[in-house]
Amino acid sequence: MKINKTSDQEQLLIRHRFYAEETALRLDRKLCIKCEICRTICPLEAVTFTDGTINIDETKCSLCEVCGYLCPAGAISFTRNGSEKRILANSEGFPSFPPPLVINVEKCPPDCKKCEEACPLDPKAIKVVGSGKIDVNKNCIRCIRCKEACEDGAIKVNPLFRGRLKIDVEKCPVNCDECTKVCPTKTIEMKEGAKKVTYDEKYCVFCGACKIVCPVPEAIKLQRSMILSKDDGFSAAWTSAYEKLTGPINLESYYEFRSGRKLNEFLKKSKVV
Amino acid sequence: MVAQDVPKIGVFVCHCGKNIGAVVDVKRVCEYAKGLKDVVHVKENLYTCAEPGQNEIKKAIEEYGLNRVVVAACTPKLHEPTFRRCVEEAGLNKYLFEMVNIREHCSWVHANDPEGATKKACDLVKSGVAKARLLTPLKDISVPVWKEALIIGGGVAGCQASLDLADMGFKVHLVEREQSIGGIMAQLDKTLPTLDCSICILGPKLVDVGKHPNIDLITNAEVKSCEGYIGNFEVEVEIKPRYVNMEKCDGCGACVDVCPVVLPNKYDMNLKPRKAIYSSFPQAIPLKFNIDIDSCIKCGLCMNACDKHAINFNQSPMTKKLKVGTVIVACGAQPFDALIKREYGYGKYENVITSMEFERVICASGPTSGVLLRRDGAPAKKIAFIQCVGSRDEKCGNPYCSSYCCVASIKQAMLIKEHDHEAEITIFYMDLRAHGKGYEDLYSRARAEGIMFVRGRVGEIRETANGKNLVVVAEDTMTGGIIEQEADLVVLAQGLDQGENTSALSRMFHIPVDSYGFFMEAHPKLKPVDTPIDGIFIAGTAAQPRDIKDSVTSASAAASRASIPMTAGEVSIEGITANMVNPEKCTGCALCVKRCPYGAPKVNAEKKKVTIMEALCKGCGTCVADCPFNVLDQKHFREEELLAQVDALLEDEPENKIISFNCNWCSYAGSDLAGVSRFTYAPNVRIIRVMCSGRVSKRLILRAFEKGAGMVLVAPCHPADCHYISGNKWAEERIDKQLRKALPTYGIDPRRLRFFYVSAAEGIVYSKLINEMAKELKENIETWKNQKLNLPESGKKI
Repeated sequence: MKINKTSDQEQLLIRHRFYAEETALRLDRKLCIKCEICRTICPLEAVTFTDGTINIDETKCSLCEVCGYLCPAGAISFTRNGSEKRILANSEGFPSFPPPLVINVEKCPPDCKKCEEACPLDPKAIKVVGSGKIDVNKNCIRCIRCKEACEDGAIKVNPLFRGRLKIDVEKCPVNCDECTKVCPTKTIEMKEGAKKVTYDEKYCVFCGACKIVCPVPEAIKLQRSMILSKDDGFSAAWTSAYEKLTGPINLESYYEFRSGRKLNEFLKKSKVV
Repeated sequence: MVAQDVPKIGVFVCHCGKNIGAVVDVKRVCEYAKGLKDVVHVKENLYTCAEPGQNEIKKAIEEYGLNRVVVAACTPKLHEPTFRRCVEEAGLNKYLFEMVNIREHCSWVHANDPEGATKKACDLVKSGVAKARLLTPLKDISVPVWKEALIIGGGVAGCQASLDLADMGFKVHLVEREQSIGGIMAQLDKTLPTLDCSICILGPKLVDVGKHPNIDLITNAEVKSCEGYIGNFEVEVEIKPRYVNMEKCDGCGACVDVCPVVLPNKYDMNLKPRKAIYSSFPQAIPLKFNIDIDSCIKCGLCMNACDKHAINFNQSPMTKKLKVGTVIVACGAQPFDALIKREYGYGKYENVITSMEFERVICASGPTSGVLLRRDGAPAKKIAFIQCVGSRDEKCGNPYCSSYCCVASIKQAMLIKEHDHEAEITIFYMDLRAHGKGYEDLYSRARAEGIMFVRGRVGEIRETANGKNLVVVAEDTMTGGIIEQEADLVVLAQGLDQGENTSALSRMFHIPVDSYGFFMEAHPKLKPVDTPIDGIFIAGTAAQPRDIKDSVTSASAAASRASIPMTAGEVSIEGITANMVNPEKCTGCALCVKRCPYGAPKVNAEKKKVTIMEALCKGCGTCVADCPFNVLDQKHFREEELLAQVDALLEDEPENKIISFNCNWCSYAGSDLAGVSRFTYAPNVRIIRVMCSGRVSKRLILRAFEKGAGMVLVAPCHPADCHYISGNKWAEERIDKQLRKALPTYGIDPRRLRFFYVSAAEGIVYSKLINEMAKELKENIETWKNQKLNLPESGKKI
């Protein structure tokens, strides 16, 4: 097998070329939001970030799909002989996720592009392509900008993470706006004439990109408490990723709540069951 | 103790046809021998080892009442056992026999100096007689032999040997490094010359090995250590974890479908993918799965898919201890790494592949299901084979011929023709070697099929402008011009290199390797599957590049040889052990315990004395040389006997002589090899044989200088190769460090003492060394011959 790695401004491509077959990993650099979630959950520690540029060690990477599975920006994709490789995603070991957006196009007024205009990403994740036809790209980051912008209540958003964001602006250095440069949803902003940032937690998707660039250790507190999948997966790679992203206490809660144990005990104690 | 009778020595000097007789004046040597004290009978023979020659010895023993026999002929490493048996048959104890080497060490290396050779032969006979005079009768020790064998390597040779020994009734432990047995033969598509499907004929053998009640198949394991000697080897095997319970796994493969990790399969020469949980190939024995834990992402999907609950991540490496009587090493060879031949573009151009990769491509279970396609999916229509890649090539360090590659390429060309009759195939060769049965017929058929053969070395391979095809640039020696031929696929016929594990196993079992890294046989012609170590045999490509037929033949031969001591149930160990000759002088200092790697000296704590367990003693003599109180001596290599040899050799013209102490396993064999190879060197050297350089005491060397020796050479094995594990290390400490420092204080130029490592394969090294030493001796002889050994009073105790 020959391992080919090509890296440029557009993409990072790792190809495992066998004689008559090829498996490949493709990272679209334009979509990457540098949240480093992939680095955190990679089971073989193959992902590294240097000065905000992602690099994958092709000698370690086994193209196992875990990084692409939880990438909030959908920047990593896998192919096997040209078609999509989704062994993990299709197995019962990993849960499925609800679609990022559910749009009731009947509610859309004609020629309305408010959702597309509100989308903070480049390229836009939501595009109005014709009357009553809206394309949602896989890089939709599940913030609620489009939902808020829609005056007709047509959009329902399924976020990826549940969590809390707290920025202690007292700790911010004056005029420091590093976090605003990386935040994909423009949750954090440096308003005109302001010396410190302001933020609105409602738009935060808990990607963690801000925490990485913040020069002051305790200024940004970001805690994910749940990964909002549609169902459950039994795989240890899934629960290991869950723990790496939310912490061991939240993993315990996941086990308890989702398996129904806590609820059962509660009901038993209350003598209703 | 000693035979109290007066020694009556018979000397038999051999002509060995013209081998000795053409250089050494045998009659003069006989006359000389007649003049030696205690010699009562001298006879010259044409071929002493032949039956008439042996009968003469037996007759002479009876007629003249001989009680010591000296034969001056070839090397004792060849015929000492022959003559020992001969004198024993005549009723004499076999240890009352001494052999003098006047062929490998004399006539064959001094062919350009018959006078020097004859003088040397006389000296050597004198030395042999001096030792024979003092020899004492000895008894061999008999040890029991475990009736179990260890076979390392589960390729076709290892499997054949296992089946043979198991069918004979012995228990066999077959240790294989990979997860499945089968080796290289399992990777081939067809075998030659019949074009039989390789795995079809190998598969049933593998199944038999897996099922045989007498074979304990240990796969995914490596031998970690070995202690002991013939009949009693104690081996530790480390079994790497599969993370799959072998008893529960039924080989259904449900785990493979769900694993997300895709990796290259080594069995398919990395051309085809496998998962992190895998079985190397469909006919693997044992047919169980195993997990490549370094690439596994521990997702647990396989655990869930396995309804036998066979997957267990809690496994750890296990050690298995074995006790065996014999060992057969069949660990194989590895294909030459074609990346080394950069001019052929392997690794750079995607349509240059090796012959092993070709086997996988053409095989129906390979990456293209047996269709001959290139990497880009296009069919290959014009194929070129390049022979001698990594063989007969000085530049890559492999000057030997790998013997199978010519016919292997012809076979592969015939397979292509089978798949596609219109394919154009050219084989670029240097010499076509079709030595085996049916091989020449295969070549004729290939010619008839229209396969082209071009005699000429390929200089380089280039890619065409569009990068799709290749241009082979070669000299066509038939037409005398340079040709450039376009091909869409190039196959490099790679030779074989030493096996990956050969060096490690060589150190573990003390089996010497030749200069190319393959195991050395005890004798290249007469003992092709024995090693110099009793009880250890070699088979298959571990010994030399071979085809399947020869590997199988050598495997059955090795099994047969191994069965001899196991059937006998006991084996005789030479009685040349150490013993305590002055037990009352022992102070219990236990230095001998520190010197012995076999645990033969045992300290009796209360009596504060040491005793020697002779059954454990291997006879290196290191403890003897280092005992500060002269308590110990070595049977058949007693200090008195060796001193007598030194004295005898230095009676005449000592200042012109180099006394060389050669150890039996390495430098003595190396100096024999110099003789076999007919390297010439200066005739001033006189070799004294010891079993191990550890035996050479300071006293022996100082005696040599006292008697006026020009130079003294001690030639041990290379540091890690000592047959007795550490004898050469203590010799270095004692001679190269301590004695060398003391020599100037004794009035001797330390340059007169040399300590130089010579292995059994280094005939050329020994001859060059002696020539260089002789030159140095000649330059310094005037000063050196006037130096007198001046030992201090305390030193005289040495």
